[in-house]
Amino acid sequence: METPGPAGPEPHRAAHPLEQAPDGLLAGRATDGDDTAFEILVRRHGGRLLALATRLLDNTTEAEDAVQESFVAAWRRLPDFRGDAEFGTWMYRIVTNRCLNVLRARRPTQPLDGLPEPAALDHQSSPALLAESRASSEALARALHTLTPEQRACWVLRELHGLGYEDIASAVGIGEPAVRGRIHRARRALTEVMQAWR
Amino acid sequence: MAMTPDPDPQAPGAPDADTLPCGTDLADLWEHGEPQPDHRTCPHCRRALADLDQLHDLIGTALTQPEPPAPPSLADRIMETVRTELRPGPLLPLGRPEDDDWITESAAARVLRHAAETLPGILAGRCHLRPADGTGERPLPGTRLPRRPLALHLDIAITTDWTTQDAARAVRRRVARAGTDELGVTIERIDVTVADVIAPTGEPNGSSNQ
Repeated sequence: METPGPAGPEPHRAAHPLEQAPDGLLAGRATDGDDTAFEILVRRHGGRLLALATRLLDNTTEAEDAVQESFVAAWRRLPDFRGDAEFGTWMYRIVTNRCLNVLRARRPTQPLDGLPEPAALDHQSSPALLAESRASSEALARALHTLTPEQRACWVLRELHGLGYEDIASAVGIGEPAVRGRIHRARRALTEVMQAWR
Repeated sequence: MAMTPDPDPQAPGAPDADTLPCGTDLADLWEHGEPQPDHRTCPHCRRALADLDQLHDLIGTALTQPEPPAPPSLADRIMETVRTELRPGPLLPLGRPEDDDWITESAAARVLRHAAETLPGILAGRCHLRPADGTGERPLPGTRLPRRPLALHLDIAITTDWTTQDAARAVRRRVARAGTDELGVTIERIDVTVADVIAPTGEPNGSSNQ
């Protein structure tokens, strides 16, 4: 015999109450296997993580691949996710790791004089650096190419994503003093480039 | 204090470029954002700080460009893969002891969470069903739990309209009824944990990001 549920019809998808739910609650549900909760997390964090991956990789296709693989890896690893980190921080860590692996597999960091001409860069995929002055942006984008993958990751996470040193250390997998060192070297390299066109 | 304990062999530039002609350590200067008291008028320090300001201006300009949202197709692709790897959890016994009816934990959890969320201002989080007399350990996926009464553990988030006690009591009642009427599982014990406090409905929630 069927007993009608007291709850009535399903809520409309457009106004899903979970859209307002905090990350921790959604991550807990996703850990239990609730794919709807996970989808809300994907849509909530996808834009920011794609921006990060694009800033690190300078290539839209590779960035989308990195974000996609990272979310799928996160779904698989959620049962072991103890909630000792915020979900967003945890995702930053997974995406950063994946991008660092891609960067390390590329050819070594180029010296300044060996840089490609700006026209060779993928402008469409450098939204972070689309400043008022296109020349400035291009110079900065080119300068970013002189950084090691770790310097680039630390600098982008700090200056463009506003992460604290502790979270960057965990995302990049190095100690906090090393993070400070990487960011300092990145700043030095970038200001040196800026002096050149001042 | 010189800040050079970090071996970064690929670092560009000469190592001594970290010390300004006035003897100030550049890393320290940039870290503090202002010169030492006895260097307030030092042209080297001021120039180094101006360089950093210029970089920050450029970053500020770059960041005024809104981040484009991820294309919906990206989320769709991700979820397509995720839904080929669902985790339905262990099977829970349904009905009478002589029956051979089962339900996955995730399907049961969906019903129980929904029952809790029929209360205004309450959202449900983690939801576990385990043998009431067991150790509480996570059973292996796909295994069948013994035909014995279950214990439920449910995390909830509540608005400030609720007291935690009232919310837990109301949720326990709704969930118990749904367990009996909708699922037909025997839930002997229901533990409710208030894991989060959320903004009242209609107000922006600090935890949601976009």
